[in-house]
Amino acid sequence: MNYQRSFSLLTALLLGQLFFPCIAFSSGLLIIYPSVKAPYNKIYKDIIKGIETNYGGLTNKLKIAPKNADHMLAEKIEKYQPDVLITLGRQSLKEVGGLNLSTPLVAGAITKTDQAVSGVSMTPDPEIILSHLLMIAPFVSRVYVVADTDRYAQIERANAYLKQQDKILKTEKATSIQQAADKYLKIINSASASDAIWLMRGASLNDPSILMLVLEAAWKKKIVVFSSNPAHVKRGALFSVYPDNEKMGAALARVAQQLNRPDYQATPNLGLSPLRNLHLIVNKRTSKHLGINPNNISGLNIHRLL
Amino acid sequence: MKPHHCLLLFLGLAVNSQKAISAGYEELSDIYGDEEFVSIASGVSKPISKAPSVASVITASTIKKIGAIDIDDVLETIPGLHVARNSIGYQPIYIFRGISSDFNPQVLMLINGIPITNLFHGDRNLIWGGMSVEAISRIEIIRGPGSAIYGADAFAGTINIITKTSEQIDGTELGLRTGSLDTTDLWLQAAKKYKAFSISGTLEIHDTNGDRSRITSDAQSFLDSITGTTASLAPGPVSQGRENLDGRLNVSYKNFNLNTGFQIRNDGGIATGIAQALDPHGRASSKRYNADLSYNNLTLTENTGLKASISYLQTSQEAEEDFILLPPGTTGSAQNSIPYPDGMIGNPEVYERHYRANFSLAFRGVARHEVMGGAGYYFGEIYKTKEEKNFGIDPSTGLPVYPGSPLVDVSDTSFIFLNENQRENSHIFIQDIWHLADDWELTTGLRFDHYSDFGDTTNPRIALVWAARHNLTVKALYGEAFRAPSFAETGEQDNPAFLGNPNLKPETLKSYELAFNYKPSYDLTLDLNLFQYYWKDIIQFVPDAGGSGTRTAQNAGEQAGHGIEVEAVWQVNNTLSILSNYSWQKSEDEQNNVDAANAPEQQFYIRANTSFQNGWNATLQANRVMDRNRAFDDPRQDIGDYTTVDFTLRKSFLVDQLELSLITKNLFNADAREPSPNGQPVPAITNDLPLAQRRIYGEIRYKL
Repeated sequence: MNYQRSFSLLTALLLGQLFFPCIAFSSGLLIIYPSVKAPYNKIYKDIIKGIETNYGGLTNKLKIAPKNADHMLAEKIEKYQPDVLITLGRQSLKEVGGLNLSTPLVAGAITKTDQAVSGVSMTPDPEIILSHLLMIAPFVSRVYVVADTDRYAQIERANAYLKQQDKILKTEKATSIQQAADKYLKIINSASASDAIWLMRGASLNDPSILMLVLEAAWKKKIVVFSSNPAHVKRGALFSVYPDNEKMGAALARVAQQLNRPDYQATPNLGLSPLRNLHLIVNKRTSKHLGINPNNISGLNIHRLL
Repeated sequence: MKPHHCLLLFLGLAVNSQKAISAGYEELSDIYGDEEFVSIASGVSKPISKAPSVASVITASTIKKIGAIDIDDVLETIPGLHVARNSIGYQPIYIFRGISSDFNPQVLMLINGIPITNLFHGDRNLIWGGMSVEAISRIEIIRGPGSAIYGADAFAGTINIITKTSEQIDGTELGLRTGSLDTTDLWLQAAKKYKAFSISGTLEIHDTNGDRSRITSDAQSFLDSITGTTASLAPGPVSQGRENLDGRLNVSYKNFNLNTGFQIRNDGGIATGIAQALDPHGRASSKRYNADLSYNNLTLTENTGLKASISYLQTSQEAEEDFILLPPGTTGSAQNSIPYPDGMIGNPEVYERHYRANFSLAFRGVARHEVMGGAGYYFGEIYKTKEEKNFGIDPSTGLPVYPGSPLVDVSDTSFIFLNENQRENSHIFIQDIWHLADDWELTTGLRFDHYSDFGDTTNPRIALVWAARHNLTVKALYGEAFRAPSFAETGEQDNPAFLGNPNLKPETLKSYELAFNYKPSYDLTLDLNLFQYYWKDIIQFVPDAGGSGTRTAQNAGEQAGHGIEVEAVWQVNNTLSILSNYSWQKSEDEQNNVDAANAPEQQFYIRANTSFQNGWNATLQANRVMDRNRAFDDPRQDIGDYTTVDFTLRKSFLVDQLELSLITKNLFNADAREPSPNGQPVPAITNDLPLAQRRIYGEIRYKL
């Protein structure tokens, strides 16, 4: 083959890639993720990077448009003939799940789902949050939580972990902001320096007024307040966590590999595992107020120090 | 509609708008807390450094929201900082807290931590030509002295420009902006990551005819009145066109980071002329190239961190078309009666190179202390000066150059305006952050600088930070600073008016500050700063004894000042945010016991931004500049106050892939003016330097 002919062939192949991307693929892993604006798109980008570098096989990705359901989605997926699918985000899962495809499905970048699906949740594992707490503030022996009634799973997991560590979890239920505020104040009034308050994720209790109230009272008594919401750290919570998206991608890739094993015959529904790959963010000002030098927290990689 | 009516209407619309959170982001917002934290976590924006100083940080997102076209649009929004204009080329004068001078060497500007100070005048470059903002990731502005950290010229304030890397550039983006004054901006940025390598780049073109507001008199007007000539081109328009080309490339690999860049300025108008006489013909150009390589490892060992960098900067100030100092028909002075048919022409050119090497080591091994120390070396040179002129002495004959003669090259002779020259500087510094008690922290720093030309200087700083309450931080700061004499001040020669003085000492500054940061609620942050400073050994050109008419640079001036700055940032609801600041300062020229000239004594700024999930984003801002005094011997009335109002409207489509914007500046056509220099016996430009009136631009951005 002379150079000219090979160049023409290469050009045709490249143009083919450009105009008919679907014809080049036959199998492998297909990642379906939504088109979102900056800076949220960076989250998906990092997860995808994690998947691609850890899957160890052919990977492709398909971006779906926001809001409106894509009637052509099934056909688009079909063109890739994937062995396994990973959906990122609630909308992707909803749309792909609705197609009832026979291809094994892994769900990522969601916090919960009613669908029978395997995947990794974006909700941080309470075990990791609490293990961080005990490394940063080993003097803490009791952890207080005021939570919605629907937080049972997390509380159970937290309770079991703290018990293992010879520590105590005290939970209070609250259904309104007012009720939560009253309970927090009561806890702080009777708390000692070996107590800590956990602002657990819960939509109705995430009101800024509660945070400010708790932080003010806790500052005066030097009580540790940590939160499941990283934005609280800027306001004065001692620490929080947020997803390490690349590692989350790696975890998703592992689940996908597992489902794609030829010998894997079980019902492909492992459920959502809690996210254990987390970054730690610490408030320097608050840690110093509590007498904790962030430089001396050994064994922890503080990703951000505010 | 009056400006304040417009603002009220805007606020009313925004407050009444419904809260809207897109379902698509709810889950991510829940995990990350808010959008701001998504940016921090994903590395798009970096958290504000908690260095004990009075600092402001402006990010790329704000720069876009306010419709900034040039970096000066951004800097004007900072409390305690006002951007005035130099009559030569309308180059910016960054006035921090009442400290003003013609060439503004009292402000240090850094790009990615590397000073861009020129040796000739100690400024950014006499042909600075502005700086487009698309390559900027964030700007950190420190008010007050910072010589204990940054060395020379971190005096009245420090402006550190951090450019975008692959973390901040999302794929490939193209942009085009066009509008008033025949202005076109074009930019392209792209980023790519490959394994541990990241590469990103930005290319920006800025082309404008510039504002052509008119001045009513110039230096030639006065000369005409005493010589009987009619040469002056005033009343006439200022000349401000320019063609800028900026490029930046960043490559990073693990702990290594390489920045390279260029800033080319061509076809630059001289505004009101080199000698304050209108010059529609003269064109200036400047070529600047920079490269820096740094290594940054915060955890070299468990308790130590290391930073090291080397950098190179090359700059030039060139005459592209002859600078006509005084227009055709001028006699140049009252003593000469023969007119110059082509005007008096002088084309000074300066070429500089700067080399730097720095390292610092941080040590955290001592309980309750964080110690940092380091050293650095600098070598800078004006490696070439050139000059052509059609007046003065012809070095080849030793005879005067008569009016009408062609240009004479005086380069490499004793008749040139400035000789080539070099400067070396080495420094060592140490800083300790001592965690005194749970809520108390004491930072002490000391830097020693040795200069090859003017000797040694040692500059301390002390900061005591008290976390008084969960939402209140109080800082007490003391700092000293020095400003190195520029080569123009030490070496200017063969000039009929100004002569350099090689025996100059650096200017010095001592400053005391008290800063409060208070967060009364989740959505409101208030800042209050009080300051007092003493500025000594100010370098001024003082008339020489003996009636020669020349002035020689001397450490003659002294100024003291105090003031306050207040700032409020309020996130009213999900869609509306308001930022406002007010600054007041009172500075006294101690030599003449009068209020210091040119700097505004009061400034007020307010900005409201509304951002809707459906892609609409609107920003309305107003800036009021007040109470600018004249120099003690300036016969003019104090310069008028002004308020400019700008409005920017943006709409994004296809998940931000496409963005369209409408940007208006000085919406209500305010007659805004910056002070023109005083002069003897009268100021040359009597009615000050007019700023541009209403401008309208359309902008399109597209992400590939």
